[in-house]
Amino acid sequence: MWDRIRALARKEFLHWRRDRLLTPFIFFGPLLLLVLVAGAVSTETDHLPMAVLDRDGSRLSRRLVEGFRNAQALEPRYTVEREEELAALLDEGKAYVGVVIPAGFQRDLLAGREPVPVQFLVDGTNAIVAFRLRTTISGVVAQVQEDLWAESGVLSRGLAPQIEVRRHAHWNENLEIGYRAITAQLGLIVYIVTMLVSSLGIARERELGTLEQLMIAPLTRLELYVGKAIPAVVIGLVDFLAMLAIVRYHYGIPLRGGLGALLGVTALFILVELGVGMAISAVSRSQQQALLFVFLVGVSDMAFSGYLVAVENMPPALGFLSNFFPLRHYLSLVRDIMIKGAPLPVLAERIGILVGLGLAILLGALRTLRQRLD
Amino acid sequence: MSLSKTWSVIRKEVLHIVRDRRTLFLVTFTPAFLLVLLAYVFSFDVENFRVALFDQDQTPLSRRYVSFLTGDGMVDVVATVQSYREGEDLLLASRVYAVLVIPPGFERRLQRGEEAQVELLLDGADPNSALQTLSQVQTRSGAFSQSLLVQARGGMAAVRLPRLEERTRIWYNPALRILHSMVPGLIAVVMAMPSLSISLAITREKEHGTLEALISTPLRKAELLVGKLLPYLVSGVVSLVLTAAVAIVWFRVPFRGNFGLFLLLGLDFLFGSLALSLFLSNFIGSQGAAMIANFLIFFIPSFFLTGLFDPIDTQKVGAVVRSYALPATHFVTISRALFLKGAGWADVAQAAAILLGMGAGCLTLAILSFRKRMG
Repeated sequence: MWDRIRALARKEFLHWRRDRLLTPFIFFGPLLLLVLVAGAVSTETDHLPMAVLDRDGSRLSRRLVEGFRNAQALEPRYTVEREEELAALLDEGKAYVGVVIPAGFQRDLLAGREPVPVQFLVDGTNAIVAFRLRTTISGVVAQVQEDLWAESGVLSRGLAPQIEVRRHAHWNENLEIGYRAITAQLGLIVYIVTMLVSSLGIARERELGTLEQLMIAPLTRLELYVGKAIPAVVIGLVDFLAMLAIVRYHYGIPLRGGLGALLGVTALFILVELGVGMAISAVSRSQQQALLFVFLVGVSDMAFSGYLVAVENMPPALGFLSNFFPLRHYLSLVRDIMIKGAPLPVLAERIGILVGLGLAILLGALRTLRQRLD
Repeated sequence: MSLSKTWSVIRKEVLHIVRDRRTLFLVTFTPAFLLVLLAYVFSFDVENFRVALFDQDQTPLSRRYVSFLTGDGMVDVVATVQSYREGEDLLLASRVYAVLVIPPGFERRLQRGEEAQVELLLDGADPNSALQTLSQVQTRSGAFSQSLLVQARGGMAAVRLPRLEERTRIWYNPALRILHSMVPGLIAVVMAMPSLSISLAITREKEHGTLEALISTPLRKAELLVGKLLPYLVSGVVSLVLTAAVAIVWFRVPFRGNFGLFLLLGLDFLFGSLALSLFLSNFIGSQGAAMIANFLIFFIPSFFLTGLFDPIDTQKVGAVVRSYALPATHFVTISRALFLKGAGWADVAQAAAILLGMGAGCLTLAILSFRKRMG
């Protein structure tokens, strides 16, 4: 049995080696993508442009604008004279926030009789960003007000009930965004490479008419599966190790749990996705169809991975459904192992789910393979 | 370039597409289907920040503080713990983003008019959520202490407090529906399908050796490539109409712009992305490689580099180049502007011009770099 599997695996490797363009894509494409995307997702975007319509032009109105500059989330880049200009900047997407400071701002503020209104216009086309900006604006306004109080002496000792929030972040003291984003990209890329490599296997043979030769060869289904799977596992793991080196040494993301555990979990995940890839490969009539299926499955997996949207934010039915997508469990395992160095008992549940999903998928794949081949 | 020759290539390509029904079905309906799938994932309206509470003070004021923090449901206390250890276990298991620790003496200190410190233990493995939870808690804590101060000052009418009132209005999406902002953006992402198909069509001909047959005909390079491009452009527009219909009819995303303009700009986007894909296909020999290139160059980055979630950092040249090189970036802008802002020509002229330039440039490069000799 092993001889036959070895022969098949050798044939597969030969194919990869002969396709001179595919091989560099398989090996360098993922690295390139990692560097390209990781650089973009690992820093928080701040200094979003803001437009200011200051009708007061006073010391305190400038103070308010400075408050935004200091907070760094927004950058008062445009100063305008009329409300129409403000609107145009928002319409064209050049400014994310417009602020209108009314005439008499300083006078009314110092009089201190009534709250002085300041109008903020926030571009809501990207609601997620708008939510954040709204919180930022409240924070800056509160801060400026507090500074004014401190100066005017109302905050003298013993008269200032204040709550200070002290943060203490576990595992990532400076809350660097890359800790999550880059580990997620690592998992995502391994996923895609595995899916692509495995889904093409049988579809290509069918398209080129060589599947018939394989079928008359004395190979059992399991042998065919294993022989086809070996190259995908090897390619997936090699890619993973190369990317891990970049993540670890270039981006400085820690690897706190064991390398063995990480590799073990990755190998398990690759095996699970191989099952999916083989099933796709078996039902597709051509490589083109296989690739379209991969596209569909890939997007579903990404949608439910918990990376784009926290599973807790999904409608309950979808949140439940997300448990059936292996990528979700894998991404959180990678993060738990690398960043948290989580002990086995914490990981056990997800590993168990992955094994269960893997077995179900494998059985399904072998069945489809039988139906399609016999 | 002869029109009749181009036309025969178009006919051949259309025959290819139409004869393979399953593929035709997949290519046309996949974008709309993907949009439905992705849109449901984004159907939440408010992000929830799950925290655990460790209240060591247990006083009326500490309870008032907590209910002030959680008033609108954005900060959500999902667990109450009795020790640091318990809280840290919840963080380790990723059940909460943060643990809020209110120290003993919280009420006493505040009532004496002193500063009280609370602690927020954060899950650093999820820094985005941790940062947002932190900023929510900080902003609300500030508002709470200011309300205490104003209350304490209530009796002292003589002292005047300068107070600011923030009036925030959200434009284009007043209820801040996340669905309404994600669906138009996602249209640009799912419309990666046509460029994937064209690149597979070309590499398939290379694999099967039929490209050689085409090359040996008296077709010119331009006729061949334009003939390949047009059918995909048309099927792309069909699929774009379907996708937009799903967004407008099914998800009820308001469409405030001019639909004709949307289709025209959609055509512009498809031209840009198809031409780019055509150009890259010249250097790719097999369908597998084409798929990997498409996934890695277009599809995955389109989630992260196009401004779909995080805005593009216009301060950094590198980030701008990376993002603007992707056709989807410009269509995310265009689609959101037409759906939500009701934008006209002038507002999206820059994005439209870049796409047109990209299309013309890439098509020229594709024609120039296309080799009529195999080898």
